[in-house]
Amino acid sequence: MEKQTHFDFVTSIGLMILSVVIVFDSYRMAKDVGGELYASPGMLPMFLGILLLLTSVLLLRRSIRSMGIGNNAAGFLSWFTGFIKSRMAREMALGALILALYTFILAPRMPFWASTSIFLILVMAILKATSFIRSLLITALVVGAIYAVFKMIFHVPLP
Amino acid sequence: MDWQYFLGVLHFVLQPMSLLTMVLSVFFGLIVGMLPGLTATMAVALLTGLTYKLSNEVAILSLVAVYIGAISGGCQSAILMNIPGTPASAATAVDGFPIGQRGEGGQGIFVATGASCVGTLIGTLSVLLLTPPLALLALKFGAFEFFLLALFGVMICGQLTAGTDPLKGWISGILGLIVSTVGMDGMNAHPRFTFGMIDLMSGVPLIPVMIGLFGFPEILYGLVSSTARAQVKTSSLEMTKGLGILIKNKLNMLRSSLIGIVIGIIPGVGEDVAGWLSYWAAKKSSKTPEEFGKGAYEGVVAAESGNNACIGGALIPVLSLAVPGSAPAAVLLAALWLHGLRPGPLLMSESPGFVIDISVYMAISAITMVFLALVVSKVTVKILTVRSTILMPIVYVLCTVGAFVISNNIFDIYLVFIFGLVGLLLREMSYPAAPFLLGIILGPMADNSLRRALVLSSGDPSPFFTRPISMIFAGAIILMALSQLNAFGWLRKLLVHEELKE
Repeated sequence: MEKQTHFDFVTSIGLMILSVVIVFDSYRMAKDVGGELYASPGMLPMFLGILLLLTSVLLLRRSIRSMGIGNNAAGFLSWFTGFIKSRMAREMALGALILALYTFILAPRMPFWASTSIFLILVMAILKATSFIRSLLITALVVGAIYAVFKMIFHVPLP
Repeated sequence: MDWQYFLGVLHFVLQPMSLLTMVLSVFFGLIVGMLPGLTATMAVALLTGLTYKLSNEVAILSLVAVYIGAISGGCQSAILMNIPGTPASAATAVDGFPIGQRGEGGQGIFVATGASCVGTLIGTLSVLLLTPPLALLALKFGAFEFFLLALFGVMICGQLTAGTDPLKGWISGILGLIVSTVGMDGMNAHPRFTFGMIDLMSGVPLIPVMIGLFGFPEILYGLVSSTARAQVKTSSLEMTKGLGILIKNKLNMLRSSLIGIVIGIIPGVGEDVAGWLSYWAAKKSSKTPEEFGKGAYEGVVAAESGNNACIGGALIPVLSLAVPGSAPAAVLLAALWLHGLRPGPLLMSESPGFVIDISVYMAISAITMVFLALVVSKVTVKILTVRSTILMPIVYVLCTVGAFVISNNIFDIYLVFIFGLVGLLLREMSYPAAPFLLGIILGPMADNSLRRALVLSSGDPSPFFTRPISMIFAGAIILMALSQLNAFGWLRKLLVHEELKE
């Protein structure tokens, strides 16, 4: 609960900054296009920016009332320094890195069968999910099944 | 009802070739609906091409069957993996996934499918009985009502998914609405928040965002050994217990189905909103609202009967006005045109039996769907016994394929990852992801309706509060906001004081 209040304190400040940027950008849009503000492309974003500002002010007020500014700032910093040193944070970063490798490097540059095979074999090897032979079999089965259904039956292009 | 038409279409559906086509179509719909990212819209669209050479009757039967199968199939991945197969099943995941985690995945799927069948059957009745009067009511919705409906939908969703903290649900919904404004606007073609990126000009597509928000955190947690879920034992299905749950929820199913039908009739809103609104109504009227979100069967029953009844509702404006009530209904409408049918006010005089044809197709497809879903679920519940370090990378590949095939754009895969990180942050900070998604769904409707309404009234906002239907929505929104500001604290104090005096 205490941790959530620290999070609320930090996120509400972030959201307030975001909402101010949105309101200003929406106003700029209205100026760029010209005409009445209510018909401009910035109308809904401006309305939503103001709503976001109001709700984040409510969130900030609630977190400050609960713990005060100093306690919230110190509490968040202490949680953050603890978190980046934790095993969970390292594992999450590794997991995200593997998924990013497939998303941004393998999938856009290679044919589907090659990128997916490399990704699946690599992930199962890094995470020690199963034996190498089984991971090869699973990969062949998955890639083959996806290829057959999408490419051969429905003639849908694959990444 | 004209019994001659009814018996004729029944005779046609029960012929071996028609039955086989229907069974295969429902099965295909279930599989597509189950796969994350592949929606009912896509299922109907994919099959439309394949039915081109079939006779009109068989083709329409096949398309209606696939629509019903796909909307219901989404519940299986929602219950087993917390990844709604289609946006329509997002509300099902809230209680369905805890049910799966409790080891009652098979039971959950049985109850969800049973509720889907009942919802579809009630929706079918609505197609037969309510087409003319309800189509008239839907015509009363103007730009003012559509904008307030969008805002009301996001606020309700935020209220009911954020547990004890609606403020965070609303913030999540507002962020979703803001994301929906990215891209060229519909009226002036002015780029908004695109940062000069060509890929963002057409906006942020729904499917990659949905897969990212819901799928990515589950996949990442599955890959990380210290947070990986223990393998869940799935209990065998107890049919009597499942039927008991359904019978106990008969009023819930009826209420949710009626909500689904009304939402379906309103053009463009669709099954996802129907699921959420039904879920909200069930929670509000439940004797145990605190159980919602922790694996309450009531929630699953409400969401599934609501979203499936919406199919019937969405077909009412298709048949009577040629205006689709939802995205899959829009594709179905295009398919009807492709097969030479002309839905709209003249359909009743040109093809008087067509409404009965569609109703019978829907009813028999719904019953077939229950049996097929139970067969399919025998395989799908085994998913929970596969190690997450093997399953989750495969699910990620399916997610990226699902995101890519919509528009064959590699940028959509990047969006899965980026919105996946957003979903992870939302989850860690205790913000519900569902209102964010609903914001993106309803954003375009809110944007167009708000500006069109203000142009119509020359900038005067008073019709938002004075038109009869608008007044109801505006009142509900204001009451919800005031309750968060504790504006009714004095009333509560007064009531407690009176009670103490007594």
